[in-house]
Amino acid sequence: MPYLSQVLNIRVEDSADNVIGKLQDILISPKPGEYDPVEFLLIKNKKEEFCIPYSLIDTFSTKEISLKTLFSKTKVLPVPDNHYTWLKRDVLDQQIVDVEDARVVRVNDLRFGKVKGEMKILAIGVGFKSLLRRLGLDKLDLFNLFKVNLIEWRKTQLVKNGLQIDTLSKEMKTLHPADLANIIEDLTLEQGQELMSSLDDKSAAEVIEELDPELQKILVDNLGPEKASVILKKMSIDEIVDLMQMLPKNEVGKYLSYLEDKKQDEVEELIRYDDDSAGGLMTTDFISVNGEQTVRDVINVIEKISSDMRFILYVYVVGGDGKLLGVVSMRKLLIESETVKMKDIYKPLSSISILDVDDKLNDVVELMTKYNLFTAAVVGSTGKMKGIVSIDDVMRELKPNA
Amino acid sequence: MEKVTTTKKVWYLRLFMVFGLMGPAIIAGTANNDAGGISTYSFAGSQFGYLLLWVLTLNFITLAFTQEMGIRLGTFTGKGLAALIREKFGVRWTFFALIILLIANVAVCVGQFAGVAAALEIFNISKYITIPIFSLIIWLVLYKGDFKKVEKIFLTISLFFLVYIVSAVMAKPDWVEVARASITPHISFDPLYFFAMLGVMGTTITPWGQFFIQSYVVDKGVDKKHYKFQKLEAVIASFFACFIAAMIIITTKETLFDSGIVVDSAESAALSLVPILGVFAKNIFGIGFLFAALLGAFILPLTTSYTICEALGFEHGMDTRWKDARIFYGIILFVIVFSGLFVLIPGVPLFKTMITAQVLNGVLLPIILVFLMLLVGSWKKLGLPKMGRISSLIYRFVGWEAVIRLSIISILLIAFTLFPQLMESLKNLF
Repeated sequence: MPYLSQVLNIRVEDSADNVIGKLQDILISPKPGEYDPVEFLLIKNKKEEFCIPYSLIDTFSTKEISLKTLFSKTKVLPVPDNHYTWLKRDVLDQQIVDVEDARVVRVNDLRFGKVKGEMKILAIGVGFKSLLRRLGLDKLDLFNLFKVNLIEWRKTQLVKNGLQIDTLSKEMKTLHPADLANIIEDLTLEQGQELMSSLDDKSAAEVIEELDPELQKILVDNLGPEKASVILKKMSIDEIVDLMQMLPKNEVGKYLSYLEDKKQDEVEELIRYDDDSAGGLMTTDFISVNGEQTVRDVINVIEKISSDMRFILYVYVVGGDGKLLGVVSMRKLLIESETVKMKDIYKPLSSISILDVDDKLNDVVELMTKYNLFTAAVVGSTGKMKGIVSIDDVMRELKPNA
Repeated sequence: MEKVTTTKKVWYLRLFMVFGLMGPAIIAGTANNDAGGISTYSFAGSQFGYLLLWVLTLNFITLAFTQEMGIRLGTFTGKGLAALIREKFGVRWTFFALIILLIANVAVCVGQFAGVAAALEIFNISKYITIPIFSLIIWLVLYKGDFKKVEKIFLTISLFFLVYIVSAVMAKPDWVEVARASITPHISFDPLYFFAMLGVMGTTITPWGQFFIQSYVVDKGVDKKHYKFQKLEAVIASFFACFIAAMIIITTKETLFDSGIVVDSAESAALSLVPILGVFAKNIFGIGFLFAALLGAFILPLTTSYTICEALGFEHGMDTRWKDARIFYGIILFVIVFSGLFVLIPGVPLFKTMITAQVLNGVLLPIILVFLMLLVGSWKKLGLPKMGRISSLIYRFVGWEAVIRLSIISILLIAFTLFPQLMESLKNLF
């Protein structure tokens, strides 16, 4: 089956073998998540440019393209406006999102094929082999050293017409935030911004958290105060803190003012800690309870606020003065009867490992590895509960570019 | 009272902004004058005195305009120069442009390696020892290390060459004569003059610099609103690059040309700084020269591979590994190994290699400028802002003038080199 590069500029003949022009471009109307059928061929001869619907084409191959009828009896159409996507003009050599691998690639070629009697785009060619074909040098690869590298057309997402939500395929919408972040890092700033703005606030916040810090800063700066403020509100405290540390000092105040007072205070407190100390790594998104609350009470609390939390592995039992007394695991909450009080089931400080806000990254890693912890509580110098460090915060610090 | 404080604040702010702009501009301008630049200008000044100063004036205008065009393309499309060439002209032209870029960059990189060797020969260390060691270090830093950290140190040390400003002033040149020479074109039918002229052009304005400035703007994500500041920065940086070049020419003219010494090695280039640095001139110059050359030797393999892989769609970037980005690291390795081996060829004249690399850049530059001009010409499709008729005319004039001037000089230089008798007949003609 032909590649676009092989059919472009070849002669188009009618049923009596009269040459009517050369193939200039191919028009489709792309629908997300589908193999799109060829709709029109754009043909050019010395006098004019015109379109012929694909239904009037008899043969479509690398050797020849021919009409079913005589040219004089064919109803040609004028070149349509921008409603269609032109494969050579808009797709070939441009960037396209490879949704399956969550990356942005450049289209070296396009492959056609017949599906249920219709000529459709099946795949895009990427990689060295398709480049050689474009250069007319594919015969050089005598021993087939280079693999043909194809990506299914329906697993791609055109960038050209913008990345608004209604043009996105289902696969694209359900990508993991980290994958979406990868894609945004590869797109131009404007395209990335557009994609960000079309996401709902919660997803946008999750994607921002996954972005490269430099780009994070640039995007938040460029999104405008309105969008930036709603996204900031949805981000978790420790990620906001990381972002604020990236921003120039004189702008931090502006972004902090977007947040509600309580969160603002928390962020301001966290900013003071060193980046790579337990205080800098921790989040203040944790559930604290007092000893008198019952299992039922605690479950009620969790039900109410669980949607705002990234994860909940423990609840933290604190005294009236805010000092950490001990922890109760999710597992315990599930198996204990509803009327049992926290003070009777918590694991006391003496049998758990906790961190101090000033502990260095190395200490954090050591403690969490040694005791196989997913999360660790962080306390201040007076023993007051300050926050929790989770294993993914540590991983991010160790491998920032992943 | 109220009013006074506000004006004061605004005044401070302005000053701050100017310095904020000057900082990066000075760095960019100084970095532009790499080891190859210092050699070429030193040679030009010691061989021809002030005769080539006028070329720097033209260089400033051309550089400011071409850099501005690169910044404009980068800011409004969010794409690098190679990507735009790919999208506008297709695969074949992209390959052509990339091969030109590869040749030009490898030449400059060879020049930088020659600079490293030349700098260390001042300290009597043989190139057969220094080049293999530094090649390995460069590869390891680019592959495993954090180049960004190294870069800042190098840039700071390169600022040492600001010393030429002081030394030029201290040499008490005839400033009226300098001003006159800067605006008086001079042509002499001497192959060496053409060689030096093209070298001076090719070292200030380079193909890689053109690709580099656009990627820089794209990576930084410059806001369209700040485009005007970027524009100003480009002009200041261009001016600074040419200003330092002029100071080198003035220094070498006053100290060497007048005593009949022609710079033909890093050691003799260092002589020009003896009046200001005294007996330590040789050593201080050698260290500065080494770092300037090393900076280029780090940047060039990296930027070359980055541009090629970006345009052709191969995995690239400093956070990738060999397994995922074989072509990216392969090209880096190729550029390093080729440059190293070339310099190691016994009997290769190090200093001449450095200048010849700049000349080759000058020959290849017009090709890249044609792409740049054509891209800026299709501003409507690319979404660039509309320009007034007069400014668009000025841009076109400056751009195409540079293309034509560089092409003519390149062709003449090649013709003179191949047919030396041609020069004689031209001389008789005038």
